[in-house]
Amino acid sequence: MTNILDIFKYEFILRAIISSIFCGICCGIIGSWIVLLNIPFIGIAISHAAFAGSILGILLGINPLFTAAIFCLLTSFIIGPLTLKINLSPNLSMSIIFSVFLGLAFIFLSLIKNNKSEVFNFFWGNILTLSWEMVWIMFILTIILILFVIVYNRKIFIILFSNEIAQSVGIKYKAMFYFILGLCGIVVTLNLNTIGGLLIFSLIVTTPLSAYQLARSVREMYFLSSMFGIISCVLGLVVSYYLNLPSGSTIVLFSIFILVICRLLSFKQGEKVL
Amino acid sequence: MPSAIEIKGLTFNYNKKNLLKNINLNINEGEFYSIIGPNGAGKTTLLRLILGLIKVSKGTIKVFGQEVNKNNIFKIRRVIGYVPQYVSIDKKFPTTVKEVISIGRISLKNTFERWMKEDENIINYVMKMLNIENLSTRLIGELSGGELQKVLIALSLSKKPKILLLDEPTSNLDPKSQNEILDIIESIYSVKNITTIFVTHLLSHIPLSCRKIALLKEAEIFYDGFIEDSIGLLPKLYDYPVDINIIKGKIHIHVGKEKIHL
Repeated sequence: MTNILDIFKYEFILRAIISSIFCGICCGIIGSWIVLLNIPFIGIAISHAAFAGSILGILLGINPLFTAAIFCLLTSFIIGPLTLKINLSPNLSMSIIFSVFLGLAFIFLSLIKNNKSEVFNFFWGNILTLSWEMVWIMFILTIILILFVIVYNRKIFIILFSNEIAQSVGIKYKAMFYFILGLCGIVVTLNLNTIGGLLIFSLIVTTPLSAYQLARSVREMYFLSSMFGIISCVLGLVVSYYLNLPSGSTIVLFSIFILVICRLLSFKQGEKVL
Repeated sequence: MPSAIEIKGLTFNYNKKNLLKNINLNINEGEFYSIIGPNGAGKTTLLRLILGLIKVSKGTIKVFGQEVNKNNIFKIRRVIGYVPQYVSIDKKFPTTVKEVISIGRISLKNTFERWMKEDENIINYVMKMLNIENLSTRLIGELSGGELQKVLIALSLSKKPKILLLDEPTSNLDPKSQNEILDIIESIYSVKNITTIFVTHLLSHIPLSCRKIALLKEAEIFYDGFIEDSIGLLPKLYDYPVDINIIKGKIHIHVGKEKIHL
């Protein structure tokens, strides 16, 4: 028992656990939007934009998180008009953006002549190296997200339910949709340091998908999704520490394990195919 | 009677093709108006233009004297209840029937406006009116086509609209559900006297309360006025033989296998 509790003696572990909780909540909330809007590709498009942005930051010698954030927000604000104005399916527009940023990422990568290891930190993340400053930023982001959900809960529900109904009843769909995409971009950017650009895609889809199997309302989905996110992050972190595994990958594997259990317990089994 | 919807010289182009050509239509407050035409005539497009979901290419649409444009659109949508022909809904979406009906009330509220007892009462009243109180806690994915259609009508009514736009509300339903929906539409009109625009491609689906129709074909309205005066024009609508008989003072119309009694 004392061995298990030993982990909490280290300040860097404490920081990692606290930020895991914030990461779980944020991913749970934006993931619920992503799953209910059926736009899973947004995760992969934004995470690759962040990856390209961070490489550009390293290349130019400025804070990579800053350039990553710009690229993420840019992606969010390109996907919106592409989807709504050009009438392209969101997943198709995101696939195009994903390809563009992956191409840019590799061009930027080829231009880095020195040590490329810093780049791969953004791929896989390293939650154990987070600073208190970063923990505070994640705390503020979590509070902003929770407040947004509380204030706009009913209107977000309509947007998630059906865009045609949302528009016909007079909801300002476009503004809300862009804002939701923007928040997704910010959450992905700030989690580049925790579980990394590639693995966050998995976390923002799997934990809400687990909640989707059991929830009877969108509120329940936010709650379950956040809980599953926190459990995956904290368990993944502790287990990875003891078994000396990469934390991001362990977190994602835990989230997949929860998904399998939820699917087995789900009442929404649907029709069986012959 | 004041005009509820006034359409003047309306043209709508899509991909350089005229989907609607020089449409002029005046629908007065409290009127029940049916727009009839074959598939692809432009009926749904016309409703979407009234709601401002798509932009007019030429001409104007006024709703209670206010032109449908960027500045007024959210105000106009607040007074219109719309039942679309088809809504793509995720069958596993985690929500109940009552929550879906509440969308109509939510859409009228400002960001910090609270949910009132009155909202709850209106939702309960609408569910009672449509006889769907027993569905209240059911998940949306568990409903049949007819039940879902009733829920969508309830959603539009919960807004207490001044205008009701019904886009082929009976399509894709079995005959029993079709009749149920038509009876509901009749009773809404007789109780509430809401200005109603009913779109259909089947003459037999025109509710009895409807006295005026517009016949729409190949993007143009070639008749609008009282239903009785349109009978001679019906063969032109479908390019199909139409039999008209008067039996015991009632007009019986046969379009192919379809029978209409006026």
